[in-house]
Amino acid sequence: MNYSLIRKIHLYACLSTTAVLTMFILTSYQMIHHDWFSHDGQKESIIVDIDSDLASEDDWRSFNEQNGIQGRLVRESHRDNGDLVRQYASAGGSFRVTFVANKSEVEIVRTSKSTADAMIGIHRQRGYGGPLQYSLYALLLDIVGVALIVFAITGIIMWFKLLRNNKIAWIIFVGGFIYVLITIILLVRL
Amino acid sequence: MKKSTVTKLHLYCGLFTSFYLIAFGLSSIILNHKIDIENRTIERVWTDQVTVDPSLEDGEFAEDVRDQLGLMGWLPRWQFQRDSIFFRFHTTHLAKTNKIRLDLKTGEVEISEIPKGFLAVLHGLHFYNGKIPNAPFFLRTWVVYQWLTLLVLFTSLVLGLWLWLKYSRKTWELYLFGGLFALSILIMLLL
Repeated sequence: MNYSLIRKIHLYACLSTTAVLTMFILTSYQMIHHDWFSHDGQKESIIVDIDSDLASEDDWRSFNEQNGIQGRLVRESHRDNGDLVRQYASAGGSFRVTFVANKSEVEIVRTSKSTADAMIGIHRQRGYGGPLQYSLYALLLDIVGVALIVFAITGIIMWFKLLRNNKIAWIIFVGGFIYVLITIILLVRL
Repeated sequence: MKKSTVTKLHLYCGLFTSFYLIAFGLSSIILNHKIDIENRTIERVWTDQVTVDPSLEDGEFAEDVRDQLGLMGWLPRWQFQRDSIFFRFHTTHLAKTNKIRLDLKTGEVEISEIPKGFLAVLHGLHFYNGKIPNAPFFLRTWVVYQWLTLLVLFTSLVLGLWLWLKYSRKTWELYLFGGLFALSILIMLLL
């Protein structure tokens, strides 16, 4: 493979993931310096009347739209008394919807995260499913995952082709390898 | 700054972060597809002797035994089990879980090791902040490495973008990748 092609793969792998990678770096610092940011969320609860038994997914979809319930379904369960509970989550917060059996009302508990936690919420989103934007984000994550591996490997190949005799580069590369290797060995052994 | 200097800086930064990037790339794919990579079988069983202090409550007792055995890891409280003969608990960290069974009368301990496997360790580095209880100093330096790696990765990204924008950008690349950048931001804002 020639240098020009490897350089293009390296460049395009990086360019296509710049936004997500930047978000990952910034939110990683937010997680490391957890105490520097506000984590005060808000919780509110409302009761709404319903005229349908929410039997189908279409009923739920229109109910969610009417009541501003965002995010994707993350859990569905029943309380001991048989009441259906659905939980929806997004990066910015969550909704717990409790359908009270034999009554024509639903309790909606909305939990909103602080801005810092909402940004970390984007970092923590994963997996396909739910509304379109979640699957698109999951696709972006797959691209980022492959791109990270690709631009590390193509970067190393380019270094070998261009600056193989650079001593500082060797020291950094071997030093990084030895550090990660010792870390893994210690973790496995202890 | 000269192009050759920026190229070298970009190279050094990239090489510094290369192993971290490979581990993170792999981990992102594992997380996104919820792939179960963790080994759950016991690979080794060994025994040891400890001093039993009956005055300690479960949490302190487990810590004391862990320390006497020279093990590292967290002690999940929901794994504590005590009866008249044995005290059972787990020590766990990103690479290994140890199931501990202590004979309260004799002080004999049976340790069943469950190594999680190489892939699980690489994946675990994604969440590792260098703060495993009883970890040796070297492992605790990971927090510094992680902090520096993120900074160096960001620097490498900025230098790479600068090199592209200044020396080799094409108009169609600018539109395509600028559009992808905007689309990615929009998708993240909609989550």
